Amino acid sequence: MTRSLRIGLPVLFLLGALTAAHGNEAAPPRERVPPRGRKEVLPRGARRVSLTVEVDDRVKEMRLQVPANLLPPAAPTAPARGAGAWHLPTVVAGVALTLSLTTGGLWLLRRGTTRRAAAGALLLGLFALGGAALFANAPMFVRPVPQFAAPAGPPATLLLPADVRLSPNIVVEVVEKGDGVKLIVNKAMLGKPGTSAAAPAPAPQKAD
Amino acid sequence: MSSSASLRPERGAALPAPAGFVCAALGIVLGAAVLAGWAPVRFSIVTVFLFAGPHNWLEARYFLTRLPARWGRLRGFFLLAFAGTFALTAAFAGLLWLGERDTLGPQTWEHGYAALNTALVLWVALLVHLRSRQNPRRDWAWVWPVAFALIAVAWLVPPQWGLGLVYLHPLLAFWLLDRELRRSRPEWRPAFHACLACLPLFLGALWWKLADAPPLTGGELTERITQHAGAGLLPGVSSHLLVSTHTFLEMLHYGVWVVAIPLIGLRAAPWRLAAVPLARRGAAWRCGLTAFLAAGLCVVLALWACFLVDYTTTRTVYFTVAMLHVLAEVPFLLRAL
Repeated sequence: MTRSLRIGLPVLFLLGALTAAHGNEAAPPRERVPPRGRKEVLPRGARRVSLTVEVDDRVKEMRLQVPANLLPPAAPTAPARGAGAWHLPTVVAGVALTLSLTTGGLWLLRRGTTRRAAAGALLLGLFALGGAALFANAPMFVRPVPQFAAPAGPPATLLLPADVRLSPNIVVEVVEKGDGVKLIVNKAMLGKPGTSAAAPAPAPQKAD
Repeated sequence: MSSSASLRPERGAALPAPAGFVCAALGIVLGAAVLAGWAPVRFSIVTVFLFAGPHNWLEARYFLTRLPARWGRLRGFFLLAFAGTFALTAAFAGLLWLGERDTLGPQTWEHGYAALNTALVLWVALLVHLRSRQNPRRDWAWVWPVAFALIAVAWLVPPQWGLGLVYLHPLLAFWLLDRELRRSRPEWRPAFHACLACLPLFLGALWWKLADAPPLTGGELTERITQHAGAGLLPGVSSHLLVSTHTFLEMLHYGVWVVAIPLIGLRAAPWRLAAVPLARRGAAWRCGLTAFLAAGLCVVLALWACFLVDYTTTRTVYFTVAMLHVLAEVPFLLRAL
């Protein structure tokens, strides 16, 4: 191998590592102008569904039935990463990289005349790689999800078109079938039109 | 004691000049690029049907020409080469077969695939090491750091590593052709290098033209072809672009093995065994080699028949066992270096 190649390869390695470091930096935040005259943009994962109110005297508590297909898919459970847990590909890759650096260092040192320069370049390369790992941990730019502002103060009883007073405690059921959300109430939970705002809110019950 | 065949062309033989070589090569490259970009799936189907079998047979025939009659000190190298080629091919085929039958869980399959790729890298590194100790000796100790770095990549991103093999394998033929030209037609090498330098231009033109191409749609066969080209692993890249690129490179690979190497590397017609060192060992060896090549021709014919009966299944089976010729190229390339 020629002298120039011996010096050039570590420099190339160094430059490559630095490029990776910048490539993984967090992108600058962009200011987003709210669209005018367009349909409201829903947050990620949100859907438009119908809400129906059903009166059923057999129910004792308000029930909110949500079809299972409206729920987001369950996130895969991450494997346990306790003190004794280990991830085989990461372990093998780490061992292989260690062997790569070790054998590469030995090879460079055996080259003879340019070993000092080569070892220095390898050391610099290691620092550059460390810098790349540091930058790679910077958080990625994530588009801000618009949040619905929660009303200030305690939850109030609201008047629905069917004059239903929503209590703070609703039994939420996930049902297998259906395309929309259904609220099941009994007749006692129905109020007179226009009176809900003044109606006293029932006290929230303690969760079991 | 090892021996090898002389590759010097006979004087007076009618061979095309380098200019003709360049024109023919660029013509094939241009035609392949246009067809691969215009109708990638159909072009892929036709090229695999036409050339998959014959190019394997011609590869085997070329390797016979390069195999010494007596291995002597190369015995360890060739034993490791053949053992690794057959064992790794069987292991890869077995793993893919188990994967198709859903016998293994996804994590087990991925770990098994990474382990096999590790074995593959170590096998190649060991062959390089053995080759470096043969005459003329070379300092190829850099192979170990490179091999371990590749093993790390194979474990971190196993599917992408496999995809890299799919795309890099066609380029291996260019390296072998270059070594063959150096040995047989050194005056053609500059022209060949000029053709190679044009290759990125053709690839760039393909990518520029197809960067926003709509994805390929179709039945099971189209799905398999796009998956083979990496559409499932690179969701942000147009499947049309991926299949075109892969088909283009495959066509060049076939062109090297079906046209260029027989023209340059074989001293005689493929069916004449006078230039095969093993055939000189005796009548029994000659009969054995003749039977081997005849059986190979039967396999080519059977492959064509199977393609006509059930193209999709045959293509899947072919690409499963095609690992054999991919691996076989490695030791013979190393011997040519």
